[in-house]
Amino acid sequence: MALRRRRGVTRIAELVLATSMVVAVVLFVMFFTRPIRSAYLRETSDLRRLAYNVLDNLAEAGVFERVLGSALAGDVGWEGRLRFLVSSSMPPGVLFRMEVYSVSFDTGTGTVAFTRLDRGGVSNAELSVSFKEAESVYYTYVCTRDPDSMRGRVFYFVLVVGYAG
Amino acid sequence: MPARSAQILVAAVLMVGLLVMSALVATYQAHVLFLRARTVVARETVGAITADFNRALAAMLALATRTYFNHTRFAEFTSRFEEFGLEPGDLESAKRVARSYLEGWEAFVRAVYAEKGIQVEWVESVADVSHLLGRPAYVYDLMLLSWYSERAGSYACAVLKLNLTNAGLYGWKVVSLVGLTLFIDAFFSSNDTIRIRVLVDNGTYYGNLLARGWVEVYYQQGGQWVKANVKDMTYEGFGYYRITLESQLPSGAPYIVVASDERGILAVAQSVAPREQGR
Repeated sequence: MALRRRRGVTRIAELVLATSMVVAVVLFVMFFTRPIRSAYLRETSDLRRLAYNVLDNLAEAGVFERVLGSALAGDVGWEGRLRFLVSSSMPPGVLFRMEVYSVSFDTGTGTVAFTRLDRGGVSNAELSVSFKEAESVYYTYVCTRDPDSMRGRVFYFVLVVGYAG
Repeated sequence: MPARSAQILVAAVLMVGLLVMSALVATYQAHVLFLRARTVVARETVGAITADFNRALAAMLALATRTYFNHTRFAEFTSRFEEFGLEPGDLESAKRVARSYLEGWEAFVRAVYAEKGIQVEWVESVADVSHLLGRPAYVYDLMLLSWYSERAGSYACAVLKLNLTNAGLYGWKVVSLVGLTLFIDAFFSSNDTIRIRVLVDNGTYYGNLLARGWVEVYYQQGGQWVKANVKDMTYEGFGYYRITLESQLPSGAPYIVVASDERGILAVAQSVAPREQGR
């Protein structure tokens, strides 16, 4: 009887030991293995940061007022200029597509109207090229820089950046 | 037999405990990963919205200062807001227009970021600018234009409140103070030089007056303001500029310095040319 009891205690001790080992292994594996789709998360967050940085830099330099001022004046070459400026701010191998909207809001009713200005020309990728990994950011922009004709005007940008598929 | 069933029971409890613990750890890790992934989105979105709110506020302060100083001269900007009720030279109507504009901006941002579950609201606030003007002064009622003294300034202040429910961000609040402060620091009559100091927003040194802004000097002669020709202007650092005039200012005559930053915000400081013998 006493021997049986001792065996039972030994088995419990073995069980506890085995369980501890399993728990330790599971924790070890969970800690050191890569989370699911970590590469995807890392790369798109880098792209998103890049897109915001590019837009912030262009805004800080007063680019939007100058380029979009000529767009509103009827200049047809503004898309090429904006494409060049965005393209020169991007690292090699990164593709982008940008949509530009002029925004007007009725302060009385609170309605907002978006008018697309570009014709798909603010991009360094052909339409047939699909993006493998991409991130799109929205950017609202109130003009504050010279010329006076642009101050207070509101624009909305959608910038998609990614890698070629 | 009872001893064996007790062992099985203990083993079962341990196994269940192990499974529950593993599930908890896995859930915790997934949650942390999810938070880490979405916090970045919220941070950048909030940064972009806050920066744009500052721009909207600055644009409206520029409108108010420009119409108040000279509506006709800046008509390319100011006349566009006449249809919204802006009356030339009237600060109160400029404030009304600014409020409507910011309401419109709010609706615009709500439409753009709708998929992020945005709740945005701006409210007027009070800001103490005594440290900038060197006398008790507060921005309330949206804007303050404290002009025509040796320490002058134009300010606008509002609070932006933001929730991004889909990104798990609640209760974001930021006080936005935009403005331009202009001091007439000294006048050197020996070489007709005025030293001014220019600060932006909450006291940041402004070093772009030459490249992106502008400055003008007017003096009073025969009851009229006459524009003085600026011969040279240099930046001395810490927001100080030295303006050398081509012509001598009449002794004892009032003069004003008008400065504009790159956002179009004006400030007008006034002083009197010192009376000196032998001039």
